[in-house]
Amino acid sequence: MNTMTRAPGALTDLLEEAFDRRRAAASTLIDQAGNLALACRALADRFRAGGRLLTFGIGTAAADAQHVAVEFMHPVIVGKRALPALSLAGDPALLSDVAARAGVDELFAAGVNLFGRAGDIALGIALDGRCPSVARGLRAARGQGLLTLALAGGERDGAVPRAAEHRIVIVTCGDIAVTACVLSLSGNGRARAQSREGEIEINVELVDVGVGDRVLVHAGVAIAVTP
Amino acid sequence: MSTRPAADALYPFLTATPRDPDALLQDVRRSTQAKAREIVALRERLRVELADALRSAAVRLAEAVAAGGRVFAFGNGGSATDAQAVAALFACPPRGRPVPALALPADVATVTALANDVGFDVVYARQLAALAAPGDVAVALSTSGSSGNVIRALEEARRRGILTIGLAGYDGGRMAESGLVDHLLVVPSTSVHRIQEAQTTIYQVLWELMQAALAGRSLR
Repeated sequence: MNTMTRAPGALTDLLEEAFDRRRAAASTLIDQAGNLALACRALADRFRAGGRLLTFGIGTAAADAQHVAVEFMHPVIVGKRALPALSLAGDPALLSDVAARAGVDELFAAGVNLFGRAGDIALGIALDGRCPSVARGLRAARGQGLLTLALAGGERDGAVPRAAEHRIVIVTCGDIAVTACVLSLSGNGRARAQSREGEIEINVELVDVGVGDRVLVHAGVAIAVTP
Repeated sequence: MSTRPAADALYPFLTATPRDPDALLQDVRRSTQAKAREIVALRERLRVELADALRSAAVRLAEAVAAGGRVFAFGNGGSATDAQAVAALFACPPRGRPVPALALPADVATVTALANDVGFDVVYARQLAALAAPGDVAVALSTSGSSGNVIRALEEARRRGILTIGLAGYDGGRMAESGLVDHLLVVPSTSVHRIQEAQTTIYQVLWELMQAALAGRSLR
């Protein structure tokens, strides 16, 4: 018998921890909602004037860039308006040629220079926020009068977000979510709660909670009610 | 908000009707926060409901990979790009062991040739028939769980004795009904976007658990 099948239970801690890390990332998206709304408005202005969306990223972000493009080109919800979008990360013939001739850092700057027009929109995606190809692509886009958006992880002032006018940065931080029990509601979206480390003040705007509920707290924000 | 037509609600800034721009901005901000909250809540459900399924899928996946198995991922549209992300994550991991993995939708020559000459339903089944062997793993992605070419590929995988892992939404659709999937991971949502976001989490967690199992963690 293969021993691997014997003890899947040992993976439990890792599973919990893997979900914890992702919960934190999703909850930081809530902080970025204002930025996202501003970016959407700028995007709509460009689309209304005939602009097109160009998307790019490396590795799994290349897949994300293609995913974003298809969401605009062929919206899943029937009746939703289709909008022109092109992924610069989807054609291996073009990409490998640029990489061989000019180097990987030029991948998307070359694509932007080929396809971009003033009035278009460039969306660069970079998980670590430092990808040179994406940063250069955004800088080339900005130079040509494209609206520039960065969707990045890592740090707020990474090379990729710095290269764009609109930035959605999911700051990857080491703050682990902790559980706490709600002691009292302050009525302004805040509450007092008991955590293992003591009594803490938390933000409860994102969850529907009452006194006595156990909540998961990340960076001072209750992000879920736990059973 | 709920009375607006769908297109208007989804692209509020595109409407010609002048509205208070600040109010609209606030609407979009609030709706973004509501969506982020849904994402968090849905993942919270999955963490509990899919825990056992994820662990057993990861262990079987690790066994297959440890024995030399390769991973073939496929889906349509956004699930095609997710299949590419699965293949990229497995083949070029940020850490851990690289695993031979291919995204079947990325082969545009084969996909378009088969779609043009035979039909779109066979584009993944034929690729699996040509490339996959017993011991390999098929990772099928479909938000509805019912995409015709994905189901055909799963039938082919079953015929060939390939381990099948399915990621679906809604109630699992035909992936659930057909019994063709060894490890079915269903996101209980009716929103394609929420499903796809959750599927990203599922395959990343699956990959993490597989890497841990490969590193011997499950042996302890």
